[in-house]
Amino acid sequence: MDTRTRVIGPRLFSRLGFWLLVLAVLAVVSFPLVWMAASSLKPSEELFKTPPSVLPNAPTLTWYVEAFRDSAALRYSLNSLVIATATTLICVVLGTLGAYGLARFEYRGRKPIIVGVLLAYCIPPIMLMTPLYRLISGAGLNSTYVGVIVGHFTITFPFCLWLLISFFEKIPKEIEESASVDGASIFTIFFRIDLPLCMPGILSAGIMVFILSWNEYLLASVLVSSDTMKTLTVGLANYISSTEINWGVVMAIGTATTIPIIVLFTAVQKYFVEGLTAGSVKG
Amino acid sequence: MKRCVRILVAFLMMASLAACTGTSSDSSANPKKLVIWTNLTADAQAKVLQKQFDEVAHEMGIEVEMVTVSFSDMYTKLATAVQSGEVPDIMHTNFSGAAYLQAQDMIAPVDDVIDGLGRDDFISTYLHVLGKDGKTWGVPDWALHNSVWYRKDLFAKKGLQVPKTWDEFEAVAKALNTDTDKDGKTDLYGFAVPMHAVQVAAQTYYEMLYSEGVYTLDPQTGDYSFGNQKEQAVKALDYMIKLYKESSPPSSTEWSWNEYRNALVEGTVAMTLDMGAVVGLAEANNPDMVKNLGSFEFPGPDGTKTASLGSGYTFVASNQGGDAKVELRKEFLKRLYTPERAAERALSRPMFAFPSMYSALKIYRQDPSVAAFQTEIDSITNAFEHSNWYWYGMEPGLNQLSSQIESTTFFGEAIQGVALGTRTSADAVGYIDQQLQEQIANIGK
Amino acid sequence: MRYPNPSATTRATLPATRDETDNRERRRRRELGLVLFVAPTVVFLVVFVLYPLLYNLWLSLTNARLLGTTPEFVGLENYLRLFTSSTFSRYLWNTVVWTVVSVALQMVVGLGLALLINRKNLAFGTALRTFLLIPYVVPAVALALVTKWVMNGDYGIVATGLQAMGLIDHRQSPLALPAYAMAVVILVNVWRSYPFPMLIYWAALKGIDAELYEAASVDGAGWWKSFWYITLPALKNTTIVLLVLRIVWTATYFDLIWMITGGGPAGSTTHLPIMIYQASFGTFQTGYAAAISVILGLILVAGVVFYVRQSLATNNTTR
Repeated sequence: MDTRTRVIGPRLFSRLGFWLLVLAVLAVVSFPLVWMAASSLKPSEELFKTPPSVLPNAPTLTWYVEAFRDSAALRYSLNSLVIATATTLICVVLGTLGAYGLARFEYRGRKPIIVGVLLAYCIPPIMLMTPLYRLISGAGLNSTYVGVIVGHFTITFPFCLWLLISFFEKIPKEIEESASVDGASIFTIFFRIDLPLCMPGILSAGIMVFILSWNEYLLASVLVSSDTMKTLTVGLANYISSTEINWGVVMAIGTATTIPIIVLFTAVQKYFVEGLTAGSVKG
Repeated sequence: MKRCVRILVAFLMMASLAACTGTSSDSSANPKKLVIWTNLTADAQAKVLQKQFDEVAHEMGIEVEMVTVSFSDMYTKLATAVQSGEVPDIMHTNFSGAAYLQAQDMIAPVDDVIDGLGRDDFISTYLHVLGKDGKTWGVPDWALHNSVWYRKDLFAKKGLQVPKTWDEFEAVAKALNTDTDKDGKTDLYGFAVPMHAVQVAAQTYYEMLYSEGVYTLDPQTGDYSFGNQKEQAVKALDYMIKLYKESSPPSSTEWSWNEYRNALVEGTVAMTLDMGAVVGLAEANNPDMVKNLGSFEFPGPDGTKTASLGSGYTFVASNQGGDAKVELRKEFLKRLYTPERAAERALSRPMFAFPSMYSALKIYRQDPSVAAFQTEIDSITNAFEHSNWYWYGMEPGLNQLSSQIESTTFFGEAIQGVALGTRTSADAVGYIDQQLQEQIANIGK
Repeated sequence: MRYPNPSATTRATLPATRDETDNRERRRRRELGLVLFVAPTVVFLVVFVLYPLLYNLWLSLTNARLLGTTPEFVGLENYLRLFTSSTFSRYLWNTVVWTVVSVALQMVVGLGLALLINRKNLAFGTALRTFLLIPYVVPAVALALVTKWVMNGDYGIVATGLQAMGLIDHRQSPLALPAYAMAVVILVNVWRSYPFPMLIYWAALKGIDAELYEAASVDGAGWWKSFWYITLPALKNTTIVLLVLRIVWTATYFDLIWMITGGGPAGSTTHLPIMIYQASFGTFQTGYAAAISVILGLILVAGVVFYVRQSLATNNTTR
């Protein structure tokens, strides 16, 4: 994977043209995020000035103070953290077991299960919304962590599983076969050989699940009715109501919701790339 | 790698510990505790409610939990609450919300509370809206009334009179359009015609419909009436779109309360239909503007106005959990309705909310926050007492149809289509008619 | 990556007796272990996927409402109502426009950027790639809010810019105009979803034999020629799979449109997912909502079946 020796043939752009293109792309990609962050730092006079300046002339943190002064935004953050973490934990544990069982052994019924996982991966949240809402509310789990976690688990688990299957498939079978000949049980092999080898994959699957859950809006908005149990995305959407929009606060909370995810992502992007390229599409 | 994993695991464990601490409270078990929902999320209003609830709870020696539920998710939340059997003991909601709860058979009639407080002290039209099957299903708290809020200073400057007919109104609106900086573009528009798909389009349209005498349901018989008045409905819609094209900012097709109120307060429109909330907004954001604001009734087509749009808030009591609990709720409500408390609640949003009791209204008028608006109070209370005011879908009294209108967007879709030129007004009215009939059939089932 | 530590290896090396009974015992235990591994997945598929889907199907045949009244069987009434409704064909068309344009654009942009980051001897390659992936993890809610802000007719930078260029009226917002509103939600969607095709294409590009390009280069083929005759054919399978996957996800994607336009103006950005949501939480008709989602599902199921086949086929060849 060494970029220095990779040859891709003739080039379309000269060096200058190439970097100009890169700059243009970077500008477009960063625009919404830069604008959001910049707006969150502008005092009221600058926020509502036409034409607006790109960067704040007199940056201020007042919107952040206003946003997080009342405890609601903090509470939403905590809810999101708890729900995303618990979803990640459950998904990764069950996903690792399932992926191992599906990737390493040949037996009858394996194929149908894999097809089932794949189908589940393609089922969109909007189609699960109605039945999940009825089932979870019917069980009295509306507005509880458990209810939302179940919802998020449902939409993230197939993806997590699918990702992990491809990681387990990459481990050479010879390694564990030698252990198997030595008489080690299936559990020993799993815990002592496959699990450590697959750690990067598990980590990347976990991160993906965490991000999906953190960003999820539809199910969280439907499954939570109490104000104190809202997730950050649902809370954020509610800051734009038809009777009041405080753009400064909205931009501040938007920025505060996005930054942790970008930081987390940048720190682990290597595994993320590995996970996405390994799991989603094969061949 | 390994360290990463350790940190991750430690982090996960911490978070799952935190997960166990978050639990919600439950009132059904405790006979001495009341859970109260309110749709009023604005700080000033919520604070007054919390204070009064605490006072009354203290008087009665019980415990109270207040939950604020924003209006936009109220119906979803109610549905969930009904499904899980955790309906709040008392709910402070608008008239449509009360209609919805009554249709689900979740609330108790409160005629005994009203009689106990003195039925005569209540403005009778407030009780009419909450009536169904000869019973009253909520204790009206305060009501709001749609009027035209306008810039008195601009009227004086341009020598304009308060318009008495639709034609006059249109002329005034046009005359108010101003190009302040002389760049060839209008900077100040005469009259905002907000058409946001959620509720606002319907509210703007209904003011025109009512002023012309078009109803969803007949106020007397309760029969479906819109379908028989389509011709007039088309006329009202044409008029509304004409006002939009001549004197409203182009993007007002997407305007909701927030946008049109701000526009008046910030001085970019000269008139708007509103329920008086512009006063509070001006006091908060642009105090200099307050003295320039005034209101008048939106006119009828030829001067006589058949009816106008208005709604309000009410307290309703759940009928669940046994007679003793219902009585406790009613006792709580009774204590909330001293004239002082009723006036204080309405005054938490001055000129927007008008108390339902004459005794409270007397206190209300003397408050300094509304001192500058005595003429407006006269005109609005007069409309409350003597003219017909309705809320869409509830002309004959409580009806769930209004909650269906509030939680759907077919009015907005049809009306915006006409404004944007993708539908004819006859088309739009036909679509609204068909949707209304579908909703009515749907409720009947 | 780490290999098993020594203590694990010693524990695994148990004194092994290899007679028949022991072997059978081992196989039995192995099978038991397998069941334990796979069971949670099967339970999940049944409880959280199969059951909700069947439940949804059943709901679509009833008059279920959001509230707890017992649903009654009404046969195909909901479906009949859907097909005779005046709005269904319009919303279906919106869904098609939204899906086709979004997917086509994100594939093109994704491929273009994949070629960009695949450039030989690229300085800051990893940094650039990481940066280009960021939109994929930006919460849709935050993106929707910033979109609303820049499109605000009075203060939004994009809206005021368009006004200055004379493309829209003074104080107009693009989100209040049907054609613009659809374009805005599509472009924003492309912004947040191009990283997925980009990454997959990038991985596929790395898999193309470099010698092919060298040979082409020696033969004097230019960039376009080698792109047309080498790169594109090599990406065919990837493209097919990506297309199906992205179509399924885009056609059912709710959050972004809902938060930017709410389906407006005048229903011009209402697609089937919004129709489902409104039926469910607007008019409280759960049964009707279920029927719409079944139809949407059926429309997409052909695509999914196709994807499964394709994916399994490539799966087998790489094994």
